[in-house]
Amino acid sequence: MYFWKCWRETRVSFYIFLFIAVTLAALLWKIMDSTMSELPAKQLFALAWVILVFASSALAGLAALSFGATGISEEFAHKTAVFLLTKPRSIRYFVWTAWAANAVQFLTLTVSMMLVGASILSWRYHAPLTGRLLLAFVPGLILTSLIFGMTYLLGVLHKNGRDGFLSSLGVVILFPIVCLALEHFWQIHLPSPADMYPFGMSELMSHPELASTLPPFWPLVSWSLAALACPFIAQLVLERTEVQ
Amino acid sequence: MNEPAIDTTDLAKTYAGVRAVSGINLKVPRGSIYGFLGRNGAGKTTTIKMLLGLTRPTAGSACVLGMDARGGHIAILQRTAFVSEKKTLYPSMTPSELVRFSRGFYPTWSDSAVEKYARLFEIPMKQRFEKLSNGNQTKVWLLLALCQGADLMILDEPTSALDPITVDQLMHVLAEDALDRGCTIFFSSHQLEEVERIAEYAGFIDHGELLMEARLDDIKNEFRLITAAGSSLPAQTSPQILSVDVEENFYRYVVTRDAEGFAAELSRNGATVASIATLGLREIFLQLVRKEQ
Repeated sequence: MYFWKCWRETRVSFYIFLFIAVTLAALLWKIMDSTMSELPAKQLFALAWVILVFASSALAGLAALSFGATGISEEFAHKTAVFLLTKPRSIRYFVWTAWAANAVQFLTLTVSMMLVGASILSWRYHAPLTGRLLLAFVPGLILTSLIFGMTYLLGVLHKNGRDGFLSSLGVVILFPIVCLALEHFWQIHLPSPADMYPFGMSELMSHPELASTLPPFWPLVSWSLAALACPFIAQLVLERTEVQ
Repeated sequence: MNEPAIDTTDLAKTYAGVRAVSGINLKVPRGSIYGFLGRNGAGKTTTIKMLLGLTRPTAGSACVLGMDARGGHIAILQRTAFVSEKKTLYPSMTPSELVRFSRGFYPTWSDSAVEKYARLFEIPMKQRFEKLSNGNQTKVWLLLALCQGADLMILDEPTSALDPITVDQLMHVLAEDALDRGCTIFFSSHQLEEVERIAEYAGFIDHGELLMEARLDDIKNEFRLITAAGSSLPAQTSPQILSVDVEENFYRYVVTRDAEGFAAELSRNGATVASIATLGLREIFLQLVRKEQ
């Protein structure tokens, strides 16, 4: 019921992101083929892999913001919360169903984008898809899941998905700047999702073979837990909310 | 089974220091139609929200269908149909889709009732909710409530935006169909004529306080309008005299309890009692509110 309603409201976004993903993949293919064809195939594959990992993460990040901003927060923004919350189900049911409906779409989009992109590159450059290579996607997947969860939580706190989207976008932009500033001026290291990446993008672009390096374990676990904590907090917040 | 469908004890709600509801004690008998009357902002909607578990009471307790409104609100919602004061629903859904959405929540849902009431209220089932007129939007809420097969219907201003014909149909449906099933109907309104038509019990709320709650016939029997002519008659209100209007030598008293005794007293004081009349619900409500002010 509610899952169907959530899917119904976000399916257009799902199809739009799917279309963007396919278009970007085709463009990337074209650009790679025309500009870098003089590079050796192995190096070209590694470079294409790095670009795929970051491009898919960037697009998944946008999808995370978009899907995170819909769901139960919009019930308050559109004044339909009274109708919904007088249905005989717990707040927990509505919070997690909306989260799950959006998470399924977001993860389907993200994982299929990464896997299809990886399969195409593997087939194009005759390179085997190894587990280590696929692990390069994991930090991006967790980072975007964190953005999704954070946007969902901020939407619930604001009781408005659009405000949740804007706040989350603000955090995505400002948090790395704050981290860099603290590190640069005061040598203070804040735990950051960047800790999941063993190498920066510039290092990977110059040494693309590093893409198969295993990401560090504990940052992956802790940021995964942080992503999962968001809907829990949203549930606790809503259970204490009175519907006006 | 003889316990009330709704039973509140000193139920109160305060918002940021402002008392919205001040310790009200409602008793709504099972299988009855109860009109919950009050002006805008009197505390009707806040009371309803506390009954449905949407808002937590500041003090007191509420029992709905024998269950505590705080702990058992999901079980209460399973058996309670609700029409909100604000008739907002998912704008992009059609009434058919809203039926599809709502159906799964209620094991007692009736699809035959959907057909029946959609036809009766002439609801365009394939038109998006946002494109419907205000009246049709209200009808969709009513349709969803009526098809639930609920034991209790809580209707907050159910007739707002409805045309007189639909109001008539709704009153008929509530008085016949719903009551036949043994359903209790608790509806808030400031349209007193509607309440007078179908309600068996009424409660008056003003400034968050329950001014009166009784069987409608008893309320009507309680008050009388006495018109008398004379000089130097009592012109002050008292516990018995709710109001006095004086025009030259004509006095119009609204009194509670023992109107005949009061009229006899006036006669003994040299007054000519012209009439003793009953009052409509509207006049009684106005008198009670004025007295309270």
